[in-house]
Order: sequence, then C-alpha cells, then structure tokens
Amino acid sequence: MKIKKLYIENLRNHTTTNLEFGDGLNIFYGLNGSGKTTIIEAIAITSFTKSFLPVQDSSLIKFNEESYKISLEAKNDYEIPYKISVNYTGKSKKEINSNIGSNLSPKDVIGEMPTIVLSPDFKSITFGAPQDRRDFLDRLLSQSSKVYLEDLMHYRRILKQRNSLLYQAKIDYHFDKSSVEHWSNILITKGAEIILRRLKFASEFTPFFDEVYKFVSNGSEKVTINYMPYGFPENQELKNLDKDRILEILSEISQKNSKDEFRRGITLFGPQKDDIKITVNGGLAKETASQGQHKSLLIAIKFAEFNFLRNKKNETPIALLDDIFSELDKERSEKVIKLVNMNYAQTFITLTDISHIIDLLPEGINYRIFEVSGGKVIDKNL
Amino acid sequence: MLYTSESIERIVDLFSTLPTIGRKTAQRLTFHLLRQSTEFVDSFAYALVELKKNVKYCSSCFNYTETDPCPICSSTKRNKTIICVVEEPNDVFAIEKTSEFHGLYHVLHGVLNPLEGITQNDIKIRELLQRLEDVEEIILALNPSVEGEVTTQFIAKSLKPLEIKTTRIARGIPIGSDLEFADEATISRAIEGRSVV
Ligand SMILES: [Zn+2]
Repeated sequence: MKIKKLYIENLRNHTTTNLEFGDGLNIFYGLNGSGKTTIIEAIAITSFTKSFLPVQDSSLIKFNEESYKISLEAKNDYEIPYKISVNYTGKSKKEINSNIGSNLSPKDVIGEMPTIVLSPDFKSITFGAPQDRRDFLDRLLSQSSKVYLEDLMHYRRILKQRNSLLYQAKIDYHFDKSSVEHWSNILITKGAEIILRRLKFASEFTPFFDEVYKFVSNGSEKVTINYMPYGFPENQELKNLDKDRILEILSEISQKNSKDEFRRGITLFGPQKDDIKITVNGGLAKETASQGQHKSLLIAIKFAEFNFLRNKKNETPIALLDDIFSELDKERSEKVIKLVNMNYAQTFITLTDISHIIDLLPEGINYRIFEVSGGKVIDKNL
Repeated sequence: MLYTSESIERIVDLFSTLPTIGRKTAQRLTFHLLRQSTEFVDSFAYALVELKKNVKYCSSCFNYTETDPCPICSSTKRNKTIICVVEEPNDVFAIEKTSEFHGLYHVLHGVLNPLEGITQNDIKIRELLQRLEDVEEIILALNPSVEGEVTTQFIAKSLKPLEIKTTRIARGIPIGSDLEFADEATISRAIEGRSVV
C-alpha cells in the first residue's frame, strides 16, 4: 500500500493540511507540540478508525471547532485506488466513507489498509501488564482477520452481558443458575474461537519474530513468544489443542470458578485474561531483559507484525514510526531504516531533530522531508 | 432555547425523542407541519390518537392488531402447525413481504439483555410455550446479535422436553445487520435454509 494524499481538517492543532507523499520515507520534523505526530495519527485513524494513542476522540477535535475530518487516497500493491474519509462531530459515531461503501462501521475498514505503528508507547508490550500484550494481539489479529474482529466484538458484548448478570445476582443475593448458564455457554463457545485463532497466530508469528530479532541483534540471542491461554493446565501441549478440547477445558475452568464468580459478581475466566510470554535467552523478557534488549524486542515485534500482515493480506503494510529515533542508538536506528527499506514499506517518521536521521540514510533511498510547526507543514522538497 | 414560541420548542423536543430523529430533523419536521393546512395537522393529530387507542397486541401472537386475534392468526389460509418466532413486529412485516412463509408468528418484543435488565419474564417466552398445542415446528428467526443468539438457545432448550421440531433461520443474513434491514431475497433464502437447533 502507498498513501498518495492526505487531507486533515481541525485535528488537534491542524486547521487544514493538504499533503502529498513519496513512496519511500516521509520524514516530519518539528518541536514537541508542533503537530507532527498528528499527521501519523491521522493515518492511523483512517487505518484503525481510532488513534494509536490512548485519547478520547472528542479531545482530538481542534479547540473551538465542531468536528474533525480526515481523508486519504492510497493505492494498493496492484495499483488499485483506495480512498477513505473519517468525519467526527464529537457526538455519536464517526462517519466513515470509502470507495468500498458509505456509512461504514469500523469493522468494514479495519484491515483494508494494513498498518504498523512503532512508538515508544508500545514498550509496554514487553514489560507492561498482560492487558498491553492482549491489546497488541487483538489489534494485529483484527487487522489480519475480519472473522477475528467480529468474534472479538461479540465476545466483549457477551462478557459485558454476563458480568452485568453476575453483578446483579451479587447485589440481589439471588443466583439464577439457569439464566447465567446460557451466557456461560455462549461465552465458552465464542471464547474457544478466539483462543483457537490466538493459538494459530502464535505458531505463525514465531518464525517472523525470530527472524527479525536475529537481524536486529546480529543473531546472538534466542527469543520466543508464547501464547498463554488463561487457566489452561500447565502440562497441556498447546499446539495440538483442537476446538473440542478447548471447549472442554474452558467448561472445566468455568465450573471451578462459578462459586467465586457469584461471590465477586464478575466473570473470572476466559480469553480476556490471556497473556503472552516473551523470553530472551530463556529468561522472561519482562524480568530479565536489558534496556537495549527491550528496544530490540519492540523493533522485532513490530516488524514481525509487518511481515505477518503482509503475508496474511498479500499487501505491503504502511509503517508509522513515531518519535522512535531519539530512543534508539545508531546501530538500532540503522537496522530500523534497513528494515523499512528492504521491505519497500512506505514509511512515515516523526522526530524532533532531523540530524538524528539524515546521516543514517543509505545512498539512493527515496525520501521526502517535511517541516512541521504550529500545525502547519512545509514540504521541503518543493 | 432560541425559538420564539414555546409550542415550537415543545414539538421539536418531542420529535427529537423519536428514534433516528436528531434535533435538526426535528426542527425541519416542525416547520414543515407549520406550513401545512389546519385540516392536515388536525387529521395528523387525530390519527396519532387513534393509533394508540385502536392498536393492541394480538392475544395469541403479540403482533400489533386492531382485531383480536389478528388477521394472520384468524386466517384460514395459514398453516397453524408452524410458528415463526421474531423479536419485533417489524420483523413480521419484513418476512410477510417475501410471501415465502405461510405459518403463524410469535412476537417476543425483545431479547434477553441483562445490561438493560431484560430477563425471560420481560419478553413473551412464557406466552409462546403456552400456545404449542397442534404446533409441529418452531422457526427461530431472531437477529444475529449475541442477545438474539442467547435467546435462541434459551427457547430451544425450553422446547426440548416438548419434542417439537425446532429450527433456526440460516445465517445468510450478515452478522450485525437486523432482519428489518435485510433485503427480501436474503430473508427468503434464510427461511428456506433453516437448520435444526
Ligand atoms: Zn396474532
């Protein structure tokens, strides 16, 4: 995928911004608060229908304005045009239109323009809480499979319904077993679908992860990434689980927890509690990895994500690198540039100091530079 | 607000309580009504009052009707051994338009929804179980939401001891889209392709 044009209206400090991009690196530099991250945020919104940063959509609307608007024109690897616009008025839902249809919902567009984001905010994947790793997993799988995205949305809804039933039972001090049972059954059925897809994902993702990590670390260390479905017996061989066995295990965990669930008024099992275990040289990354290893891990995860998505979607993803080069040493920075360059990824880079990158660019690489200040962008190539 | 008349304000407020009507549309409708003749507005208001006065639930299928039982339940041309269970009266209308189904209906008026406090006692499930004499097949045609799914499972389980053939409509209808909005061809195919629950 290559983005050709981007139009931004009233997003953060941008009033109207019209941009045309090159197919290689697009580098945006400017001070903090200049509005450079807003540009890749706008791209992320057209790709995921929300920002990659944890913000409320209403706070993205420019001060004193009523709505923001983003529209984007791209071409896929087969030169077929893709156009999308996202309009948000601060009320109800975003209005999403594209050349695949009008008045679309997020699930219609997520995955249409595969995108990876490498930002210091995602460091939490390797040393944060299980929730950070689940978010990573869900975002990636949602981009690669509409069925997963749909299952996930249904699962979350079922979980919410079941939790409200359990909570009500707790405060009423009355437990109607039969009415909870139907929600348990559907939670287990949908939960098993999600676990099955996550298992399949883990086995497919590992070789990509291994390969990129070797490249980033010059091949000296051994890494693994393992999916850990919550509550599954330790001795269970996960690779060979089929759906029937997963259903069986989930039912067992469900029964074991049912008394506690009633007492606490909340669901205590299921894939919303899963985790991923990442190890370096046999040690749990969260506990034993050095600062440098965490950085290499994040790069490896993100470019494994890139390769995984390209493989699934038959389409070259877009790479968004937000403020990453100030965090990386020269060697790792060069590796990142090499990774995007050898994968022919159209890449959007933000940084405060342009000198951080200029010396790292290999000869003959296709790049464009933009200066951003006060929500205005100057194309330095004109 | 900004209006120069309290009556306008009141009607705009009322219109905007209706589903899919925002404040802007409510204003447009109000000003449209003001431009109409007094006769039109009178008959419009009268029709609204009559609507609420005359339309009731059918005591058998719980669809809206002015006669009890409703025209479908009292028709001699319908196959009384088969009942199609739907969420809302709208769904009866959608299925009737296809002319593919000749049995009777049962309108639940909702689905199980703990978040909104709707339990099996708040929808017409008990009433369904009470009208099963001479019935040979129940078709469950609920929307493909998770709530529709759970309600389908719930009813199927309640019917199991009675040994009545229970089917559900095929999942040809895109998930997330309501029966009300599905096109006729899709609904027809879904009814033909129903499967045993
Ligand atoms: Zn009737």
